[in-house]
Amino acid sequence: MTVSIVAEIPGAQRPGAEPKSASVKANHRLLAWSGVLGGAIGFAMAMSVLSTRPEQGNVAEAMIYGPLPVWLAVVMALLWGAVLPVISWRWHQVVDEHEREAYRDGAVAGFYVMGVGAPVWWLLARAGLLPPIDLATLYASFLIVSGLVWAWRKYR
Amino acid sequence: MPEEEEMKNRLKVLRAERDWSQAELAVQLDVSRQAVNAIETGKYDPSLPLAFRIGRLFDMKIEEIFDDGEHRG
Repeated sequence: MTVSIVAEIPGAQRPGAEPKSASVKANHRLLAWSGVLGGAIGFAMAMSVLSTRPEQGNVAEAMIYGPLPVWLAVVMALLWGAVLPVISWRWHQVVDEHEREAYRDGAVAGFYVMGVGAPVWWLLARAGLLPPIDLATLYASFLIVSGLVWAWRKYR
Repeated sequence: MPEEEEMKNRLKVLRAERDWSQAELAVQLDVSRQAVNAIETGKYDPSLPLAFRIGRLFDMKIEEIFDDGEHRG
């Protein structure tokens, strides 16, 4: 009975695999492209930084703050600033409403990390109570909080 | 401001009657399996368009599937 139903469903997968809707397939395909893009950017940056032979122990710092060749910085900025938004725009069009709501809640949480966290850190840093604002830490916090809230809203 | 009643629905029962898995129902509604699970467990209320799709799939009116608690004691 179940097998016959699966066979009738458009987009049904190979036997044994969980069938996926067209929107889920498109969602995963675009996420894969984003992953490829992010991986390429990370790999190019790592190769560039490691080719300068940073001192041992300073590799992570060099990856985040080290200088980059102009051409590489421009190419990566274009990938991140022009290609990624196109993929994101398409992703927002194909995902189902439950995913869209999970993403929205994650984005709102991320907004508060930046909108509240940055001024609080900035004020306390001005009083010497915290070190100066660190962009990488703030950005990582934004990504982690957004991702956790998204995952909680989607998979709870 | 009145307290919002929890929305209940018969989706899980209707799906079980047809011997469909969550994934199979999700494909027919063009949503993810997680979306079907969230609706069934009352953690997510579908939009009106999705509620209509669900109604059409089961050949039922929306209010025969979803209960907003208005008539519950």
